[in-house]
Formats: sequence, C-alpha cells, structure tokens
Amino acid sequence: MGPGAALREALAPLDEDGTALLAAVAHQLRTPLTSVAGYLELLGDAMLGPLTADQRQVLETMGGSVQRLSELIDELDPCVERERADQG
Amino acid sequence: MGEGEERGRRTALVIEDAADIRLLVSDTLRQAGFAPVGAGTGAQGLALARRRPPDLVTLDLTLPDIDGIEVCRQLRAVTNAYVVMLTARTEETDRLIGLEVGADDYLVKPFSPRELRARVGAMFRRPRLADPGGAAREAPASVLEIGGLTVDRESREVTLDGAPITLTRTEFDLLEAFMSRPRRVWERESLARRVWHTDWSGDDHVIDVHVANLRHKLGENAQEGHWVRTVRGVGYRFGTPEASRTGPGGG
Repeated sequence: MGPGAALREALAPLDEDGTALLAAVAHQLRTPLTSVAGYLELLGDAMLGPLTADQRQVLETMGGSVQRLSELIDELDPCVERERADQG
Repeated sequence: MGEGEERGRRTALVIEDAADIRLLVSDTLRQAGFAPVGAGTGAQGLALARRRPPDLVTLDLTLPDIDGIEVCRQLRAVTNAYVVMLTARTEETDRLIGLEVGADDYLVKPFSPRELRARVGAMFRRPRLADPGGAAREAPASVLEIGGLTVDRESREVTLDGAPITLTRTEFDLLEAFMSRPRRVWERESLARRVWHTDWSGDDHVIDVHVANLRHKLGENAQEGHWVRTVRGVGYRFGTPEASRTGPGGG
C-alpha cells in the first residue's frame, strides 16, 4: 500500500462529505501538477530549445518525481479508486 | 515568448481559469503553429470569440462565471472553430453533453502537451478538397448526392431535399465519409481514423454522440436512423430511407 492509500485508509471511514473533500483536494493538486508535468514534457521534447545532457538528466529526475506525485494523488482520490473498481 | 511574429498563424482561443494551465496550453499551441489568446472566464472567452472568431478553441469545463457547456453552446452560435474541451476525470457526463452541444473532442486532465498537439494536428489534417489524392481515390465528385441528401465537399454545405442543414465540422466529416462509400460498413475505429486522421485511443461514446447529433440534424431519431444506420456489434453504415423500406434490415 502506497502512502496516499495509507492516508486515505487512516481517514476512513469517510462519509460523503469526506469523500467529496478528498476528491476536491486531489483535483486541486492536479492542476499545478498538470502544468509542471506539461512544461517538463515541452522541455524534454526540446520544444523550448535544445538541452545539454546534464539538463536532460535533471529533467528526467524531475519527471520521475512528478510521476510519483501524480500516483500519490491518484491513490488519494476516491474517484480513481471507484474507476479502478468499475474496471474490475 | 513574443507575439510579434504571430501574424498569419492560425488563431487559438484558450478559455481556462487556472493561469498556469492557460499558459501551458498557450505555449503548447504556439509550438504547434498557432497564435494563442487566453481568456480566464467564459464571458471573456465569448467576447474574444465574437470579436475575432478563432480557428481553434480549448475550453475548460469548470469556469468561475459561466458553465463550460453553456460557453460551448454559445460559441457554436458565433464560430465553426474546432472546440476541444479540457475536463477533469469526474466530469464524464459533462464531457458527453459537451460533445452534444458541438465540441469536437475532449482531453482529460492531467493531459499531455504531446497529446494535445497530436489531437489538434489531426483535426486540422482532416480531408479537404485541397487533398485531391484522397478525394480522387474514393469519389472524384466534389458534390455527393444520394436520395435528396447533398454534400458539397468544396463549400462544405449540406442540403436535404434542398433545405440547408448546418453541421459541425465533425458531423460534416462523418457524413462525407458515409456518403463517399455508401456501401461500406464502418467500424468506429475506422471512422475515427478517417475523421481525425489518428489512431483511435478514445472511447466509443465520442463517435456515438457525434453520430447521434448528425442523425438529429437529419431529422431522425438520435438512437437509430435511416441515413446513418447502426450495424450492431460493428459500427455504422450509410443507408437511404428508400433502402430501409425495401431492402433487408440494416438496423
């Protein structure tokens, strides 16, 4: 179990308001993360200019961290859990 | 990034209340060759669209003033621009309603700039008369006419028994595909490839909603029609009302 899921479990049992709050928090966290991840992708694709090998390395490290953050938010989000359950 | 060199480019209107996302979408579209203009509210976006109709609109569904669906509906009254909705994963119903009121496609946040570029690029690569090779292979005539339904590929006008019908770009491209090969049974994936020029990764609802809208505008039941017939378990095919009365069932 990841830290996001552990946090959600610690908050359980969530009533309807709690579930809605968690979904709202996840939504709010995703907005700036979308921007960070998007700009990392633009930089990585050299859309904003060429990169040195060192810069590319740093971007890859940042990309990994953003990916982890994104997975944490998904674990936290009851909507994602519901989607996964629906998909079996 | 300067805007001085942006004259002559296609224009994009980015309606999004989150400034960082608005900037990201604008930069992504700028890299894709557009001159983007940002709007932080639905009212501002509509005012900009009325002042200078854009070629492309990206529309956040959750805006602080006007609901994104309503913005989309009002946009359709002033522009035939491609509209891509950007939605949260919890807005599935809104997504489908958005397609019903005239949006062409949607992306779920968090989206990838690469995917946005690909989707937009595919939209603008849709077949036009400027693509003589594609047109010649399937039907050399610029006007297709079957059973009172007429599609003019050049002017992109549609008439039914002489009466004009207003279609969105996606609806027109679907109808043009059906009429260019009236005997063909189209799988949804093939239709998507034909209309969007891209491998299909979306859900079938998108095609189904556009077909339902097309049927509605052709004066038919959204769930089943004579002009566009459902082939169960496969997809759709074209069918004239006459064929439906005299031929074997295609519904």
